[in-house]
Order: sequence, then C-alpha cells, then structure tokens
Amino acid sequence: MTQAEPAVLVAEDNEDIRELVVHQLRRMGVNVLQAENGRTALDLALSRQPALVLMDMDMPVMTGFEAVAELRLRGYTKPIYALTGHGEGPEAERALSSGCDALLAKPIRSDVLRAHVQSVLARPGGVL
Amino acid sequence: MTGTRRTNPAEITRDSLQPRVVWLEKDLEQLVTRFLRRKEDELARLRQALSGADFETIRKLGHDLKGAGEGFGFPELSILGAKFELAARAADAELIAVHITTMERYLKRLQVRFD
Repeated sequence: MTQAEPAVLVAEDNEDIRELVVHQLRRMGVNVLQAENGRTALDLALSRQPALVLMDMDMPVMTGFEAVAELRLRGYTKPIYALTGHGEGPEAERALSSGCDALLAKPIRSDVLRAHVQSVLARPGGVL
Repeated sequence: MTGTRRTNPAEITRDSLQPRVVWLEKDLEQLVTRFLRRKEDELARLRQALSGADFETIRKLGHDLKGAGEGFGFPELSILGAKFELAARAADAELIAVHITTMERYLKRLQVRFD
C-alpha cells in the first residue's frame, strides 16, 4: 500500500459526519481529501484525481448533484458514491442519474463503509 | 390541540433519571467529545430557532443529527433527529419543544466511557 497519492475524497458539509468518515478511512490506512461544499469537491476531484469520491448531495455553494454532473461532464470516470439519508426514492434516483455509481445511506455504518471502500480501492489502479 | 396524548416534557420517570452509559472505543474519544460539545451548542440553536419559528433551521439540524448520531454510537440521537425533521416539516412547535426537552435530558444522562 502506498500513501503517496490521495485515495478518497470526502465531500460533506456536516462536520460531524465528515470527521467520522475521515477518521474511519484513516483507520483503514487510506489517504483522505476533504471538502465541505460541492465547488471545493469539484476542484479537488479534478486536480487530485482521487480513486473514489464520497459525495453528500445536499451541500451549500454547489450541491452534490451539480458537482457530480459537472465531474462526469468533465471526464472524471472514477467511482462516485452518494452519501445520502435517502436510500431510495426520488433523491436516490436523482443521485444515480446525475452520475453517482452507488449510494451509501446515512447513518453510515463503519463496516459498510469499509467494505465499499476496500472493494473500490482493491481494483486495478487502486491504492490498497 | 388534537386528541393525541403527548409526552409531557416536565414528566419525570424513574427511567429518565437513570444514567445512560455508552462504551466506545478509545480512539474515538476526541471525536466523540467534539461531537457531544457540538450537540450542546445545537440545543441552544434549536431553542433559538424555535423561538423565532425558524422551522427550516430545525429541519436541517434534525436532518444532520439523524445522519450522524448512530454513526457515533448514539442511535437515540438519530431517532431524535428524524423526529425533529418531521416536526419541523409539520411546523409543530409544541412537538419540537418536547423533542428539545428529550434531547436535553438525554445529553444530561449520557455517560460515555472509552476503553
């Protein structure tokens, strides 16, 4: 495993959830980038090319929906998981149609987060 | 006033006076301490929002609490968050006041230990 490159971008405006997810990822030995709004997330994802983006969809400045759509438009092809309180329904469908690959429902369970992140980062080109 | 009976926030039961002990992993100590400090701050924000009938702020605080509480080891706070969110959507000030009292009482009873 290398820690030379950022592995996961956590985009979440809720400080509690962001701190918890970052803590869990660091315990896994994953390098983490953080953003507290969609605009910063967009800029960081394009400039640092993390292997995975965990994106809250309801953020200020630029929503997660807008950021994901823009990322896909600008050629970011790596996985994006929506962090959402809605595991199904219109918001979940909107997250997927805007370009997310999957949903991670809040409250986020550490074992579920670990399984998803390990699965993504273990793929060829990942950092684990 | 509807015919539905609601919990009286002033009602003190034996259970409501018992400490609520939660054991968490030692490496979560700093994170959880910050989290609980922010919940105390949010209680004040909830009271202020209620006094100004600012239901959108209450909805957002409730939504965030719902999303965070269980992840830190406090499922009761996630449930309360959902209740705040629902009550705020219904602009039900009376019910929100009950939930604020419940949250305040929960935080007072809470004893977090780390090992």
